Amino acid sequence: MTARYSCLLIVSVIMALLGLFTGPSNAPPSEILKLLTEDHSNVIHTIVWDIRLPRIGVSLMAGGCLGLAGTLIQISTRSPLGDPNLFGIGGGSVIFMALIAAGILSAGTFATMLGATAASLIVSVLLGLLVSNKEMSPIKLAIIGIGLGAITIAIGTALFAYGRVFPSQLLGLIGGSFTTSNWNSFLFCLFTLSLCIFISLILNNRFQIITLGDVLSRSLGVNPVTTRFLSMSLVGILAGSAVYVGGIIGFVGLVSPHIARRIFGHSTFHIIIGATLIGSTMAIASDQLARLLFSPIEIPVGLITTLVGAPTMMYLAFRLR
Amino acid sequence: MNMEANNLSLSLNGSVILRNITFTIPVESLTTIIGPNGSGKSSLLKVFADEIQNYTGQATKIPVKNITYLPQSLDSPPFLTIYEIVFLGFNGQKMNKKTKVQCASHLMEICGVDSISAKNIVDVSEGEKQRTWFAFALAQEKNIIMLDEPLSNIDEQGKKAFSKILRGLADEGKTVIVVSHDGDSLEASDHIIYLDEGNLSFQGPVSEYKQFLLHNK
Repeated sequence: MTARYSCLLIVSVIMALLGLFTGPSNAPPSEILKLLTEDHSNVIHTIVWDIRLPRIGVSLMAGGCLGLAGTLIQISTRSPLGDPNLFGIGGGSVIFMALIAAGILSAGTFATMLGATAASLIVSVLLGLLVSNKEMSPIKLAIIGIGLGAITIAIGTALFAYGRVFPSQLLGLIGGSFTTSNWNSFLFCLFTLSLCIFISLILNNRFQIITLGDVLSRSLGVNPVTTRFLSMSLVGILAGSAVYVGGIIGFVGLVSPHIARRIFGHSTFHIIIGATLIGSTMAIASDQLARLLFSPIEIPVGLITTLVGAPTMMYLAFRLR
Repeated sequence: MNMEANNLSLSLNGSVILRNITFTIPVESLTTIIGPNGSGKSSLLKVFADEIQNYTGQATKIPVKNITYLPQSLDSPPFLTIYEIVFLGFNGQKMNKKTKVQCASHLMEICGVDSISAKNIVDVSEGEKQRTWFAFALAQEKNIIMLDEPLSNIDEQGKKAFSKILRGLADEGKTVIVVSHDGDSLEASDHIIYLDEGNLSFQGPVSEYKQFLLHNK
């Protein structure tokens, strides 16, 4: 188990080093290393400290948020196709960010963080209530979720068009991008992710029990409705903060828990930690591809994750009974 | 406390499920509820487990957390292995983890799923799923056990073995109620309830049930 976790960490570290030492400025690695230890106020210093390092941190955190959110949504909906961005939870946050970008709402940095998170929270809790009210098959739920996702993106895009916002900003939000990363967004995501991992690990046994179905959970003394409400609230917070820092990065949430199950087995405890790490690794690796593939032109990171994630979903759909 | 129904009637979505039935299920015994498909057997269990409330008449209601309850045709949880499901049966019991692990392996062996314990329940046969749920039920330490068609997909040999286990539970002083359309656990039972289209056609000991069958055929 330790070896498996270490492998993931090593991949993340390699990707982080790639993120630190490569880029359009072509600064020599020796100089970058010198900068990390000594303080110099030159251009490369700014590039490293204000662009590359926060971007590494943010992609790790956002990926972790999505991996954990995917795990929790799959547990609470009992659907192997659960993904926070596919099901419109991240879309709630997109609508809020679009309202701000279009100038309809105005908010400071902190208020925007909270607002984006709250908007996702609303969608996730609504989805949770829907699951509790009707006995829904995973397929039905996936269809409803995908519909909800499409609606939120449509509204968000319409708001951008209405506000005549720059297309690049829209692309960053809908296509997913870490270009605007800064230390504030890193700290925000670090906080929400740590909080949600902590709560998830405390509730891990209850989460496992609700996958047995409502009647059996009640029979084992676990209230499925409140447990689902809790886990969907965490999904909202995680997806909202991931969208705030990186826009819609699709399929990381869907794929991470499945990879985690392959690597770490079925214990919810290990899946919670494993899926978070896999989400981080996926996001940072995809971001290096997004930055370097057509350097100096960047492509949205969400497109890379979609190219990996969507075929995985198709494969899962084939296996689903 | 005996489990009782008094003038119990139930309608769901416009169709009558139970028609004014009155019976008693004795404690610390094995009762089998028999009847053709759609005779109201499963609904009866749901009334006892407080999962259905809109009936008329009286019925003993027990909060479902005090019952080992297996509903019919359980959806397989998507992410759990057979071992994990059996292990969850011990949830909330005051036992250290090592004992739980040992007991779970023992139960899986009894129920014949020890060799597939690491498989995801989605990937095994219907009979193996039922064996897993049976082990999950045995893991729970409750005095009332209600199982809805627990043996319908299990082979003849397995049915005999599991009926013997149910008999043993009743002898230990548990109240066991089994629903079965073809009377899988009939021979091991103390008490029989026969439902037909929501009517109570028979209730009484197994010996009398055999007489009832002779007269009605």
